[in-house]
Amino acid sequence: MNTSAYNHDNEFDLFQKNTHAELQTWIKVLEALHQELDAFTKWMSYANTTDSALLQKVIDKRNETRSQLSIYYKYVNQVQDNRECDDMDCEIYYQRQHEQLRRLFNYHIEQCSKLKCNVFNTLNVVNVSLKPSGNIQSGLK
Amino acid sequence: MNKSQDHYFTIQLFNKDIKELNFWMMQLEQITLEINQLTQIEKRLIKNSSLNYNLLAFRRKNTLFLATLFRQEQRLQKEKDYGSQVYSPDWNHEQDMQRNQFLNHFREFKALQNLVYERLTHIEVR
Repeated sequence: MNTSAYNHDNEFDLFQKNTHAELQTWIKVLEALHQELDAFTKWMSYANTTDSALLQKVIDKRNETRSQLSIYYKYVNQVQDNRECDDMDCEIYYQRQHEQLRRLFNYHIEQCSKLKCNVFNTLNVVNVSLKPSGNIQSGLK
Repeated sequence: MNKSQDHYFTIQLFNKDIKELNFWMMQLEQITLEINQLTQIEKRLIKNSSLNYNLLAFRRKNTLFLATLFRQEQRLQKEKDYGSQVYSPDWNHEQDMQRNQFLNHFREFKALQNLVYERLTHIEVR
């Protein structure tokens, strides 16, 4: 779908184009988040110092991100149908759906950032406890 | 399209842009937080001064971009409340431009983050 705006577009055309562009941004952000959580699980399972409960949480979040991504992929295809709308109710239906997805997305991102903070904090705590031994590198062996 | 629907969608369009801007600002604030954490990790574990410099440079860039977004949000809010009640395609172009900027910025941050994670993996495996 072409998302650039033209002078002959009316409000609803612009609205659709915005929706589509926004959805694509969400998908990109979620894909990046999925990769990041993947990287987290990799080096958390390498290091024996991290606790398994946190690792499980990260894995859960990663799976959740994946399922959300599939929802968005489906929705991108579906959202193009709203060009067929010819009354206000239909347009509002799609708009409500979009708002719902926005809430879902924001909530997920917030949860993920909290989890990331936790992971970083544990990493910092681990390092502090290793500090007295003098050599950090040997402590992580 | 009748008149009321026109007005309705105009307001909706402004609202949507403002919501999107808010989301970007939230993301940028999150990036600032993460950079602070990554800098600490870099200091304790990786000890690479060029990486540290890159992180600080990116934080500065992030702050500047955040300021741009704040200003844009204020402009949109003002236009919505006191403007001519018309959503011209110029607003849309600006939003598109900012969206591209945000995505590029985000991609750059991910590249930097990956660099840190890569080094971290090396240290932890060793």
